[in-house]
Amino acid sequence: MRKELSSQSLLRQAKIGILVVLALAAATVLLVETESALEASGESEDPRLVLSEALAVGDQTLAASALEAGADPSWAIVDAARREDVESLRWLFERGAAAAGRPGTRALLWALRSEDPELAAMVREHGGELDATDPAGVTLLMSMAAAPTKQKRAYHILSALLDAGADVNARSRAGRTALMLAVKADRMRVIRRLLEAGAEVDARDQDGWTPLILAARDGRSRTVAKLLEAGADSNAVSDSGWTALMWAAWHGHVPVVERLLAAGADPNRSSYAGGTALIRAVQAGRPRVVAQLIAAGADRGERFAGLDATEWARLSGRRYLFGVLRRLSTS
Amino acid sequence: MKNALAKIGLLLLSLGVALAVGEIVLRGLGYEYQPLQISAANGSDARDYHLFSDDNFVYDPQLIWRPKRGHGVFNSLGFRGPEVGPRNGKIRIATIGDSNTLGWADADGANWPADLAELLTTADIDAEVINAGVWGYSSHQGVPRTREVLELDPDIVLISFGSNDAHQVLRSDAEFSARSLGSRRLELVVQRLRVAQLVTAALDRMNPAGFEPRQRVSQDEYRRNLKTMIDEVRQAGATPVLLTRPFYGPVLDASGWKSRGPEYNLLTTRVAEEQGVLVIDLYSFFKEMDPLFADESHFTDAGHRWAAALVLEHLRPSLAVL
Repeated sequence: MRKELSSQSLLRQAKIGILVVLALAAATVLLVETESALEASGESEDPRLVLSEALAVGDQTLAASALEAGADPSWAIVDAARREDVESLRWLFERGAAAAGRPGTRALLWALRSEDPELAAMVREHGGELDATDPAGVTLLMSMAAAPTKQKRAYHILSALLDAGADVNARSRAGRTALMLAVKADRMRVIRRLLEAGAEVDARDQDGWTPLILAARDGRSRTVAKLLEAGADSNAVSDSGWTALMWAAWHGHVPVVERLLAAGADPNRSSYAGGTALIRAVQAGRPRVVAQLIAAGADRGERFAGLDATEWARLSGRRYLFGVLRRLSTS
Repeated sequence: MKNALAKIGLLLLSLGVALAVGEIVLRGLGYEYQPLQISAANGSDARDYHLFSDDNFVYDPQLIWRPKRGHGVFNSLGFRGPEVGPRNGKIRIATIGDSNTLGWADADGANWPADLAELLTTADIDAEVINAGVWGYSSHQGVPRTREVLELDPDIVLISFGSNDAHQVLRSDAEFSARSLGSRRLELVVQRLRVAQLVTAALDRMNPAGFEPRQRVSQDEYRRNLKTMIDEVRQAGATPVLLTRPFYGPVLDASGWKSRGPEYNLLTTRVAEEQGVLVIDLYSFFKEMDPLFADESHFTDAGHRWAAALVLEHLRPSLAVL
């Protein structure tokens, strides 16, 4: 009897338990639903969106009431530029809206993409700044210069920016120019266009790197040739004591070394930060570059940290360079 | 009286038997627990090796492990390099740091402080270098190590930490030294006895906060340690110089020390700026220079030589003043 009772009470407790769990689950679902419903209703009531959507469907009465209700027009300006909607833009600007700050830059970007000169002119006239920067000091021109090749419109926008008078030598906070960013992104067509537009070929970033040093380090032989042709200083030294030739030698970029030497890079220039290009080539184990440098007159006896090239070869465990060092210097 | 002694004897005997039985049972069950909880959250913990297995060190409650004097690469004072004699007007430079400062283990193994000494001689600067680096050291151990080296009255103290500090473990260096038993032998016994392991496990269970993976030295403590070293070096009338810790290569493991290394190096440069101390940023200089590394964080012979040359160039103005 007691046993039955206890099993009955167990069953009852289990039922209560299940009911409590179900009630909790229902309450949770209800809460989540209400919140998302609230969020959704909140979104549709954002006056900025109302303004933007009203203009998109051509309802100027609704748009006007949204503006009167104090809606910030910057979203609507960006959205209208994206839709290439000249009429809505004009309507907004007539009512005192301005394409200022970052939204203005975004609107200008869309306008430039559109290939409609009137659109870009209108955005610029109403505050869209050509040389506005993001917090890192990057201008629109710089971001277009650094864009990957697959962004086909980037070149077109960059060109439009230059035509409109964007500052080709503006600097980011790190001291980088559009040309440096194009070199890093390996965009030959952009590099050519920037140079034509007067980009400073020997600009130095905050670490003293020039476009040529950047290109040489990354082994961009064609870019190196282009920059040298544009008059880049082949012996420029960064703050850490590296020249373009030293970087190319270190990484074993044979064609770059060849172009730099042909353009007059000094194979015997030395710095506190690692000695000559020859010592660096030995250090990194680059036999072809070692041969190139010696053929170009590099002095095998130059010392860094008390050691010459042969001693560095020994210390670095690169005895295979002994042959090339000896043979070439005696021939 | 006799009866009482017999009772105590019996008590001790039964305690011993109980412990022995417990030990046998635990071993039979395959029970194991790292009593000191110094095992790393990922992979093995180098501290474990240096403290219990490395023949070069003895236990020290503050330093955790201390170089054996006159053993291996260490001179009679526990530093690397020639025996330290009278100054005789020489400039005395001391280097404090980890394995990349102490250098390779063989007697003539490369280390940049030795290369620096050679370069100073070549440059005709009358100076000597005392290498006080220790394999596996963090800045937590760097603080007492600095005090030791300051007793030799150096003019310049070069400080380089940040990689061992960033290692992820279950007990930080500070927690480890706070709970250590005060004797290496006792630590070893505890490490080997399963019964002692069980007790430690129970104690650890009572303090579950101790199981969260953390850095050997937190960034806050790292900053404090650097500041303490700088202050003490200055109070001793010497010039402190900070070095960022060089390493290279990609970060493959998000919990690994390399993912945190750059933050510690950034802290080093920040502290140097705040305190008006010269900082030599070896990390930025060497990070793209794979051929100078034997592994991800240790220089080759050539790397040590190169680093010595860089350090010398940065020190030249200070040396000229001395």
